[in-house]
Amino acid sequence: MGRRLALLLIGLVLVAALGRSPGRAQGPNRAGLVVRFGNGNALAQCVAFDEQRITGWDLLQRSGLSVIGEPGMMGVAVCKIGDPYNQDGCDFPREDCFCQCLTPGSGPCRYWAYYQLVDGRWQYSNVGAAGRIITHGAVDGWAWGLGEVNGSTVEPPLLSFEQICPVEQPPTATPSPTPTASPTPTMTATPTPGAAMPTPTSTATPTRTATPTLTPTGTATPTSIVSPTTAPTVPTATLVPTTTPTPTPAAIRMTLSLRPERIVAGECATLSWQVVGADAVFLQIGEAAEQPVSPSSALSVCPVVETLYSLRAVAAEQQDRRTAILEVVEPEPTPASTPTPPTAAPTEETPIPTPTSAVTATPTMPVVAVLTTPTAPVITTSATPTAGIIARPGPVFTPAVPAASTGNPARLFVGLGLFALVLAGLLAAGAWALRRQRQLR
Amino acid sequence: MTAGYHPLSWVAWLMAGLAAALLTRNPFYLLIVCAAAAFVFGVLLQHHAGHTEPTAAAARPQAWRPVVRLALFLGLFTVLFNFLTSHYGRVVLVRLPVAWPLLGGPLTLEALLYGLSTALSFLALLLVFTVFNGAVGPHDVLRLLPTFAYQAGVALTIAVSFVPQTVVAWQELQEAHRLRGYHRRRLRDWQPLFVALLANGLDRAVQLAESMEARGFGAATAALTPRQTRLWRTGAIIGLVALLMGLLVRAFWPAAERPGLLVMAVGALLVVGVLMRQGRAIRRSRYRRWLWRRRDTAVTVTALVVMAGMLAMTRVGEDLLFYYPYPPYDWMPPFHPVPGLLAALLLMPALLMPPASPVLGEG
Repeated sequence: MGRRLALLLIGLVLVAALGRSPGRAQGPNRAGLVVRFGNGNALAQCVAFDEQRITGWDLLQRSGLSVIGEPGMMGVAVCKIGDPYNQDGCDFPREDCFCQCLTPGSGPCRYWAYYQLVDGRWQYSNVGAAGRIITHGAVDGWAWGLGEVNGSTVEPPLLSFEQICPVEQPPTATPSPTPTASPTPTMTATPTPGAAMPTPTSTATPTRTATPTLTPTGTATPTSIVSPTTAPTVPTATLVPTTTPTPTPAAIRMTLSLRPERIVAGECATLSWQVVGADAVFLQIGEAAEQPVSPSSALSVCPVVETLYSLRAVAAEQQDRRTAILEVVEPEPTPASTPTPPTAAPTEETPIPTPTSAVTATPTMPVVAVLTTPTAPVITTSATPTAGIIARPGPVFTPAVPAASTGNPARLFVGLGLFALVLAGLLAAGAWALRRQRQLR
Repeated sequence: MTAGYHPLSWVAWLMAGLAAALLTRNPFYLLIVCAAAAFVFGVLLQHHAGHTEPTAAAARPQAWRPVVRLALFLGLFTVLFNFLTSHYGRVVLVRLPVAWPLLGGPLTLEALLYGLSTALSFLALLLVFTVFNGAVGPHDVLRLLPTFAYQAGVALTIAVSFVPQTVVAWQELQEAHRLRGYHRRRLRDWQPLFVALLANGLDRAVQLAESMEARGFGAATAALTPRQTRLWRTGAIIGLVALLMGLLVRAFWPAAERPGLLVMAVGALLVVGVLMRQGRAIRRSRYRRWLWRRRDTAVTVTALVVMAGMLAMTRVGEDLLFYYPYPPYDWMPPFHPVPGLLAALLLMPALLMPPASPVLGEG
């Protein structure tokens, strides 16, 4: 029996050693993922993988979103999905995975409905994410909202695989020493009177000029990319989208684009970026804290004041930064009620869907409406009509992990040491009790 | 007869052990609970081995040994099953082909740890119950029950003690067969053993019924007037209906949750009141009295401290007992000395256990 058990254990160890996971794949196969949050915000993500096929659950996990699931024999139930700006669901195991369905008094049943894109339409999945096989070209969708057994009333925004995973352009092999002929961003630097200007960071200092040699961008959309231009001077002291003059490390290639570069308050623009060769990418919106983001993604932003967007990519010992500014002009006064976003409190004429939204409380805080891919259309229209100005960047969705953490070796070793100490004391006391009982006998 | 302590002390220890085993899934704390319960069990075996002649009390812990072995096997099975079927987690150890039904997909460290945590939780619960059952006899448990629950308690006790008694009978029969040089090679050879076991079980049931009859079980209670009978029956019916109404309101009318709870509470109080009143009509006498000693106070106070401490840690501040290995939580279980030491306090009955003594000394 003991020998068999030992053989079984050795076999398991061998299988484990041979079948070790290769880690996050950047392979030839790709699949799309669209997630729609309860406030109408949506996210589209292209996920690459090496394997011939993965499960829908793998796709969700590899998207980089924070996901809480309840594992079971039949698969995994998705309890919560979150990104740095949105989160919906239930904190399993502290509460039930379907906490908004089962608890009396919590209102209608809300949960993460799972969809698959079939023939250009969303189809409510009749299998769980762990049972769904994903191959190259597949698109999965998740939507938080009201639902029942046979389906949900909310669907994710309709996006094709090509929109989510555009054909990648090979990056330029050698940096061109000549100035790029890309048009200068058309964004005018006319500050709107009355609009609160965000404090520009040092990377957006207007007096700096971009070095012409730092032009390899690797994107096919030069009109919208905030790439270094040949403009030798910036005549005014206003903010102009430009790149930081720090020398670009060869390992990191990054682009940041903003379309359009000027909006009327209440409208949205698409901020998209693509970073290659970085270990981590961070986005800073206005004066809010930096948040980690995917290397290639996009964000639909609807600020009410001029806002600076700063993207920072970090490689081994290098880092690079791109910045862009979205100019916001005041809307023309209309006979109807005129919204005055920076200072006015929400009124009945300008309802704000999410009561917790603090748009008016923080005038300089940009608001995020929809996340999408660089080539995808702005999804605001396909989302609910009220999804224009919804949420502001909130805290990163990080569950409370108590006590020890694998990321904190000191705490880990202290915990293990204390456990060993308590266990040793217990064993000593137990052995003493046994010995004593034997002697008394 | 209880081993070493007053039955109420053992009940307090059981409650503390259950609190420690049920309130956490942290393998560190569960390991400590298992180790403490195992030592108490070991001391209990030594204590009973000290008796000069074999008694039913001495046989009780022995009877639970196979159950503990079964629990260890089930624990191993739980770990393997969860590891192979729960394909969830960040730290992938093995990746099986997705096409394999049920087993296909990544096998993760988190699934292994969750299986281990489940197995330890199960083992801790079983060990705590094993110790309690080894220390406190069924008749002691019956004596602890309130009068109105006496009859239900008897039925429950008989049901609960069925498995250990059958295990003991099985072992005795096997031993008897071995002594007679009987070897089992085919399936048919097991037949005499099963027949004897069945006959033994029936015999035991008849003996039990006779002894219960001899002790006046089910005898008529004190005489009641028709008015009293009507009153109690009406009270019980109203109480039960109120309980049901409260449950229905709570389940199907969420807006009226509080009134539903109130109705439930009133119904429950009414039912308990009627039952207690009815229980007073049953007269019970005690031949042997239990003694409360200093060591009982020590064990009970320690158990209460463990219970209160464990409950407080789930309510106050950071939940020190929380552990869930799957993402987005940390797979490495945290360890804090306070819950660890509290769990270790479950060893107290082993430390203060008196030597084996004559029956009267056991109280």
